[in-house]
Amino acid sequence: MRIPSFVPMIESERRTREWSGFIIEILVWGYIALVAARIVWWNMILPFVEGFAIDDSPRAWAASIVSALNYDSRYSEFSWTAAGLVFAAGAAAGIGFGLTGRGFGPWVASLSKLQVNNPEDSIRIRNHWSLARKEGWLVLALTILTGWVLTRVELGKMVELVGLQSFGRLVLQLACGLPVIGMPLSAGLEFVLNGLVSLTNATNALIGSAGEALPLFNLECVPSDASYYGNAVSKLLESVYLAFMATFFAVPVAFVLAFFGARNLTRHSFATRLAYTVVRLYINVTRSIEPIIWAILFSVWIGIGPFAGALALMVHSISSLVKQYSEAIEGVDEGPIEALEATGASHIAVAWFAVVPQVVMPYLAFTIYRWDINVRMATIIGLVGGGGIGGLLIQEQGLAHWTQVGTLAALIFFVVWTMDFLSAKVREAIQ
Amino acid sequence: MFNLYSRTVWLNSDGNAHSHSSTNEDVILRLSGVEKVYPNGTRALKGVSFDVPRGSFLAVIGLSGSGKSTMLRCINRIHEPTGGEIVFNGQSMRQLSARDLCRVRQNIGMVFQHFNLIKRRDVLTNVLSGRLGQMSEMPFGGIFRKWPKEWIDEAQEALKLVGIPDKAFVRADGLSGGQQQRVAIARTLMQKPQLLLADEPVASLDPATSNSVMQYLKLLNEKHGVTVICNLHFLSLVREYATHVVALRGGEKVFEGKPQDITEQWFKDIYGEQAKEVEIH
Ligand SMILES: Nc1ncnc2c1ncn2[C@@H]1O[C@H](COP(=O)(O)OP(=O)(O)OP(=O)(O)O)[C@@H](O)[C@H]1O
Ligand SMILES: [Mg+2]
Repeated sequence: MRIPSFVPMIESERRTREWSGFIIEILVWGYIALVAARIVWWNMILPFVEGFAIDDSPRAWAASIVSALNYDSRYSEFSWTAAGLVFAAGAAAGIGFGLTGRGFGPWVASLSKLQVNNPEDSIRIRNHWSLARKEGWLVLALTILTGWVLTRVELGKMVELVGLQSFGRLVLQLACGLPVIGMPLSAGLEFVLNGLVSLTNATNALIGSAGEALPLFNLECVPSDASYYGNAVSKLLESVYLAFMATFFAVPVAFVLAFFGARNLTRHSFATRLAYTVVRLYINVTRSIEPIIWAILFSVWIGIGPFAGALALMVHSISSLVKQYSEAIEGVDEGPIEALEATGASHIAVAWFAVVPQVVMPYLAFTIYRWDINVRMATIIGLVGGGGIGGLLIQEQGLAHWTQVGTLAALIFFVVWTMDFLSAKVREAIQ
Repeated sequence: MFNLYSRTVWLNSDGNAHSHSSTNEDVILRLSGVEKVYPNGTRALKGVSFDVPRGSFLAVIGLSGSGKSTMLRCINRIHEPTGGEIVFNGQSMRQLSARDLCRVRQNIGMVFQHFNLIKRRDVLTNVLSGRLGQMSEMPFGGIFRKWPKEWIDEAQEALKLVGIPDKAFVRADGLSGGQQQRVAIARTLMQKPQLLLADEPVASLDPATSNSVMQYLKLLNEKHGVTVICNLHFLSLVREYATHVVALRGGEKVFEGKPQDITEQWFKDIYGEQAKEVEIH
């Protein structure tokens, strides 16, 4: 498990890194074994063999394998015991590879910014990690394979006619819902799609393939009326204002917390270092929970509605803003801070006079961007009862009112695009 | 013209500045065995000791990286020294509580190579910020207080003294380097310190401007009895302005004496065998 001395790293850390490399190597081989057994063997090879065994003209060799293993893709399960055993076997191999100190694990553990001075060393390092490279590619390949199997990628389905037809109908209905251009757009689209359908039918007839001719699209487009727009727009405004409230009230809280979340302002005493840790912990925890989960929590707590949505967005905005604000603080020029500290000013005065002037502009940019994000999120938040246009959207979608869904989507797009445009312009102007 | 400096010796905010310094009346600052090890392990100061007589103009010289800036910052504990003793006006700096440190720092001004002004604020605010120390006892460090009228007048007066009264409402980043350094000196004037620490105050200025800035430091020193400790790179400036010299090399003091005592041999000792003196006027 020794990592040779020509691999550069901080010497005091070498021991720890060797151990972490060893452990990573064990885990990596456990993973390789598990994926190979569960995905490659169980999900790919065995069903393939089984296919030969239950074919119209079964093959004897396949049948014997399947019966020997007592495998049936419909019932058999990959047991926890099997998984444990496979993993253990892989881990055992990992110990073997780990002891050489040449595998993927030690390579990951040895990564550092340190440069090699001696050109001969860089060649030795290249050779040293040849196993690690192969292992890395193996892990990547197995992971892609697993992802492929788990997401059930079936490219064939993308060109199936039934699916394409439903897709076409949906697109026509959504297009019909668009404000102003809805009717002509959907009529135009229908014309194009019908052209494609006729073409397909003609080709099928020509090559004499069996089956009926595909029906033409025939959608009756009834656009949303004015009262529907009234309702939708008022819901949309609810979302925009909800986002504004969430941002507006998050700013002062984040402003204060950011000073405690910045490393360079919290070095001087135990109390401030503690505050730093607490603030960091708080923002990491709250940020890692999606606003949509917060919306669920708040709507259970105070009831479904825009207030719950606003609170959810606010909690999330506070922690995101604190993170961005305090990074801005950490990037300020320390000079004025030193100068004011030297006059005997208190920490608060130093923060106010030396730090704040340097961060107002970045703060403004972050805040406008946050509002922009919040407007986008506010439409989503509505899906789980956080008020606003999202609620309406999920309702119409549940009733399969696709024309209305098209209308709502267009409105949301319009607002999000406007906000995005404005916030980009403002940020550009103040930078 | 400047009632600002009517008193030769400024009092501590607690009013008992020199009551305890009767035994060493003439020594304002004493360093004994001051050490500084940075968190990354760099030993920047390896036990530096010297006395600073009250009213002197002490130049600190030495190669880049010899620890000059570190030493100045250790004196007012902008960087915490890790060993040794610093006595200012008979008071041990290292034993001060955070609050007392604020109080003592009000008597120690500081001027920097890169001026360290609040760039986005106007010159007047920058000058007034020299008084923030006196606000430090107020709730929220005095940030919600308006500046007293008298202070604003004094700040204008200080700007007049350094020759830029017309720049009061210009943003600090709109000034030239020399003007910015003069604002920094005006800030120190507002602070009315007994001791001024100047870290290469003229290193980023042209020779003419350098001389005028040095003149202001000299004025502070001679007219107002401010003791000055100044890091300098040019021996010509040292000879012209300093009354005392301390030289550092690799974090150790290698020379202490008068400017005229720096002989060719000392010069080679301080700056290395290859060094040659450059002139600046
Ligand atoms: N914040 C810091 N952290 C770690 N090491 C530092 C730090 N500041 C300075 N040092 C190191 O301490 C030593 C002394 O630095 P210092 O800045 O005091 O030198 P100096 O004499 O002022 O040099 P110069 O003439 O270039 O300003 C140098 O080796 C420097 O690398
Ligand atoms: Mg320096």
